[in-house]
Amino acid sequence: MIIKDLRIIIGFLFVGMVTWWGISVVQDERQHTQSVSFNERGNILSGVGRYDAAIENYQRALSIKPDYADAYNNLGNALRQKGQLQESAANYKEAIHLNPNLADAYGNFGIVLTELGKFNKAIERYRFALSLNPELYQVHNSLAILLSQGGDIDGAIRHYQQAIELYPGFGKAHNNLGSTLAGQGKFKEAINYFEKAIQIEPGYVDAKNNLELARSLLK
Amino acid sequence: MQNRHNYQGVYLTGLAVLFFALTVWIRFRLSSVPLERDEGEYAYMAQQLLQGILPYSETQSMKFPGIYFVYAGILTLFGESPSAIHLSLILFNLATAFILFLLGRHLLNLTAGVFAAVSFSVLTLSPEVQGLWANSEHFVLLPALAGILLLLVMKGGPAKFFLSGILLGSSLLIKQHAVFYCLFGAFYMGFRFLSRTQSLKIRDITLFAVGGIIPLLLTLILYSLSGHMAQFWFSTVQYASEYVSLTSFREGYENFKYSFARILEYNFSILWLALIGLASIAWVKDKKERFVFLFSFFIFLFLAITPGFYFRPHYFLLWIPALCLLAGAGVESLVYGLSSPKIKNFTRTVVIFVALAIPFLLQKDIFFNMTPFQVTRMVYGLNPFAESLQVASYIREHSSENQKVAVLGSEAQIYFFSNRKSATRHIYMYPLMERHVYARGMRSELVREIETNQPEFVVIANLGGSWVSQRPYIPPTLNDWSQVYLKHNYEIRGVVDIRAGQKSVFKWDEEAKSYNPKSRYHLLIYKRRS
Repeated sequence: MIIKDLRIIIGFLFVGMVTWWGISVVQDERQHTQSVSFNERGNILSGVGRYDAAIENYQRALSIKPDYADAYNNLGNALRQKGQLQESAANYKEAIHLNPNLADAYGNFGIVLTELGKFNKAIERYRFALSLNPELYQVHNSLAILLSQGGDIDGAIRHYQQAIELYPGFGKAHNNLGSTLAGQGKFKEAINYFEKAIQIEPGYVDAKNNLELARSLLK
Repeated sequence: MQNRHNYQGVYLTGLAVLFFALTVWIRFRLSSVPLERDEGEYAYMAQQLLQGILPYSETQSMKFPGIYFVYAGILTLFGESPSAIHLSLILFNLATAFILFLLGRHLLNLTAGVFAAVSFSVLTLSPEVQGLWANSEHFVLLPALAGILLLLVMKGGPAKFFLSGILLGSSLLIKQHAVFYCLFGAFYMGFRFLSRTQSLKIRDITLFAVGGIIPLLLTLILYSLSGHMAQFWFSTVQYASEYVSLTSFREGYENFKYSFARILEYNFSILWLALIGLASIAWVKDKKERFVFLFSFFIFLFLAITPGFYFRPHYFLLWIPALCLLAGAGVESLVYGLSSPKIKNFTRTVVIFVALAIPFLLQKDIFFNMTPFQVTRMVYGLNPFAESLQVASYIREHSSENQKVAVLGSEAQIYFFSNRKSATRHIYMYPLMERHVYARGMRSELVREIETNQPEFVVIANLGGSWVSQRPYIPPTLNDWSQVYLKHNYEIRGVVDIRAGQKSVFKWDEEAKSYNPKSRYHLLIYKRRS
């Protein structure tokens, strides 16, 4: 009798627990839907340069769903665009804390660290972003710039090449690789990359200047 | 006593007829919902099959070929319109509900069987499982459940084991996820063999296994003989195994939680009864063997929705039969302790009515008021499913039968409706965008094939849903290539501006050239310069 009663109690406890879980996931889903739409709205506003309004929407998303890593990452981007670098870095940190696999956040954190002059830390973040997602061509380019500045020319060339391989239409990476090669005295190769950069972006002034300089040095 | 049973039977029959009639009427009313992208893929591949082109020979898809054969049958018997395809689903759905009724009646009792069948019909109608659309899961269920029913019934000679194997093996050919139905069949046979509750012989088990392997074996032979084994293997095994390993456990749990929460929100009454049914193992004393069936069925069918941890809404259709049988058990266990038959029957009838009525009440706008277009928008957002019909119609009118089309996006329904061949084997962009070892090669292959085949029309789908991306644009590498390629060889002939809360704007020919879409979500239709 006692055993039977105990089984009934366990049965009811099980029903109660799963019912409670069900109610909480439904509530969670509703909050998620709301916060996703605020986040999306923020992205649209960021896209048209309305960063203040975007920040407001990201913050509303986060007030509903405080563990929303993507919204922290996007908020960090909008703050960075406004020049609020410290706040931006704090948001990237939070995004990474909430989702340690968010490669974009590591990449963005690297950018803000670069802007803050913390190059070694930025290199670390870029490398980690690429270990999570090797297809982030912009991160390859950003990392290559820092490596080149630090004297690791081979590493820089390798990452520029990877950026170009991933995105052949990446004019900046062509120009940067050209500059690095020119710095090595490899003007012929550099000219090819400058020409390609101009072909991709016909109004690319830096690449045009670099091309002229490389041609004059080749003579 | 006899009268009471008769009354119970009358009430039960009345409720079943009422709710079945409602579900069938709603399916009829909304049968003209446009084909969504999975349906478009199945229909296009089936159309190709009917023209003698074997799946995978010219098109890449990770799904097993059974669903294309099912669709080929539907297109032949019912016609090629979205309504025809969705009306055929009514027959499949009712037939599956009937099999579930037989399972429920055999396992539990008549009431539980009827409730399981009707609740199956109600749950599978829900927009939260995209139940109005003819996804492959609907077609897995009929042979899979029939195969399991054959295992369960005592009567019949050894041939029934062979037939059961064939049916379960056929369900696997429709969707790989059905392997868990097959494993359940094997598990249940093993259980009965070991517990000696049925005089099973090794011969029966062998027949079951042989029957199960035959459909797959025949498929392998077919592809070996046709010389397309490499494409079949790459699509359904090599790429598919990459596909199922892209999502982490944590992301998987989030996917499950959000998809399940939406189903639960609108169908909680039936699902709560399923929970009661699951918990009733603790207090219902007799017929323990049936709970082994129900509990293991519940677990195996849950596993059927887990591959890849995507938990897309329509995957849940595979879990629903187990939930409905448990809900049937739940109704019975709720009245289990009641001593008065009169109160028992009354309670049972009220519980069944309320449990089935709540989903209709909560989804009444969708079921009774919204137009098929509105329902599609509500479920699929700004995806261009309704718009695809007009785009396809324009392409059909402005191209000849042997000319090809390329869609940069995952909108295979455009190929199907226009009845034009794809210029590339990649009719779905998702595999090209995901992070796996084959993605870059697939993107290069797409570019190469389009440049070689020179399609008469190129359609660009500028919307995230077509590219498995959060952002509504096509990826930079393909974008750059397409811009250069289209600029030199094509001219714009159509723009479809897809706007939220408004009708889409269609601009064709001269009007299209000067039109800038207002929405981020739009289709661009390019025609090859003569």
